[in-house]
Amino acid sequence: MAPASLGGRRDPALLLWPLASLVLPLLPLLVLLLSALEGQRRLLMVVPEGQRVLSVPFVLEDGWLGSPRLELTAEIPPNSLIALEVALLDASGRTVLDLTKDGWRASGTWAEEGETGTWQEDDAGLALALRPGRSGRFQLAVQVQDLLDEAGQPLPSPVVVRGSVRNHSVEAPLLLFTAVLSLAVVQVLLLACYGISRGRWVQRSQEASAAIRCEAGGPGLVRLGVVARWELPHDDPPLGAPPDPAPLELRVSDAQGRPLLQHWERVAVAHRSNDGDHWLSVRLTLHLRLPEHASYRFRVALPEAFRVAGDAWEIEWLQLTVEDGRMTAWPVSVLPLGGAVEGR
Amino acid sequence: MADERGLLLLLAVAAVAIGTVTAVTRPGLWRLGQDGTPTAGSGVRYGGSYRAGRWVAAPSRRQDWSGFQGRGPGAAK
Repeated sequence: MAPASLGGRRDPALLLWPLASLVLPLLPLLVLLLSALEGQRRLLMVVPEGQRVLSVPFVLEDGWLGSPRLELTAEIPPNSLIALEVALLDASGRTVLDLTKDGWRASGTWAEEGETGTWQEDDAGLALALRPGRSGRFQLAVQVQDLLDEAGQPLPSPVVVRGSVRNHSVEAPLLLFTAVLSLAVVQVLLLACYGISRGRWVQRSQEASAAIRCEAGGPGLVRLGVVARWELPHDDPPLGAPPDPAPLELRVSDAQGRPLLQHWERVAVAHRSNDGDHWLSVRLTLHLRLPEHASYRFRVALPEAFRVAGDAWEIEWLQLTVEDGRMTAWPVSVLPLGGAVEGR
Repeated sequence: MADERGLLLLLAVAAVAIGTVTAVTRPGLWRLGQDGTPTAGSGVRYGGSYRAGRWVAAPSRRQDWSGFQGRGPGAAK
């Protein structure tokens, strides 16, 4: 494994700052989490018919860090309607907001295609998000105007109204949208940093070797991608196991044809199948550091065929890809130039 | 290329900053005393509204109930 620093110098192909951008989508989610952890003041009111019930006093805070949010839910019997009068009173008992919530709750059974079940729906709650103008103590006054059954007849039971008060609620949908949007932008940024090369050349060969001559080198790394595929001459499934790791040879030479690198390595050969097709494949990525921008020739070679347990695998194609000027987010193994190298 | 990367980073930072600050400060939120009423969910009728900083009660209108407003079992399954 190549070190992250070259003789005490930082590897110029190692680009770390884009990784820090991954924190950005987490920030709105962190704000959302902190907001969810905020404690809330619970309210409970039992409201008999015809009576106005006051909640316990609570504080609504004004400020830039979120905003107050009041939530109320009337617990009403199934198949009933309610008209709930709600008033917000300030510290002096003056009504500063006055509204009526028309709520309902319905339930029943359903039967369809031999299946049955029960259903229930309701809309008996309300939520108020507002700024008080200045921080202070407030109270809610709640009164049941109507509580009727399905037939429109009054129901005598008292209504339990539960509520909660939060002072630092935030716009959760906007935070989620911000997280998704920033994640998309960060992904584009990471692609621009790590997925784009200065130059890219591809050679696909019907033989077990391929070569590319191109102008490469300079800042960043040269990345070589090798993909190869072998198939059986017939459609029958293979008889035996996949072959042992195959020998791969890489040669790099300069503009005059002088060898700069001769590298041997044994690469794993995988057996793959899909929809009755069977093939062997090799997939390998190698990195080189070529300090000078010049003309280079890259050549890779793999075995033309494998004969294992009666199976005669023959090369179908081999594809060599050369990408120049690649940056990486973490240290990668770099083949050293200068002579013959034996890999794994 | 470096300019594009810087621009993308700036775009990501700006998106997070604008979205998060707006979600926290909620600049468009109704303020007590502001003209009108706060936005509310379904089935809410205000008994008045603010005009020039004063709560002006609306004429009393009693809701005429005609039945349930639920969507029924098809949506509840």
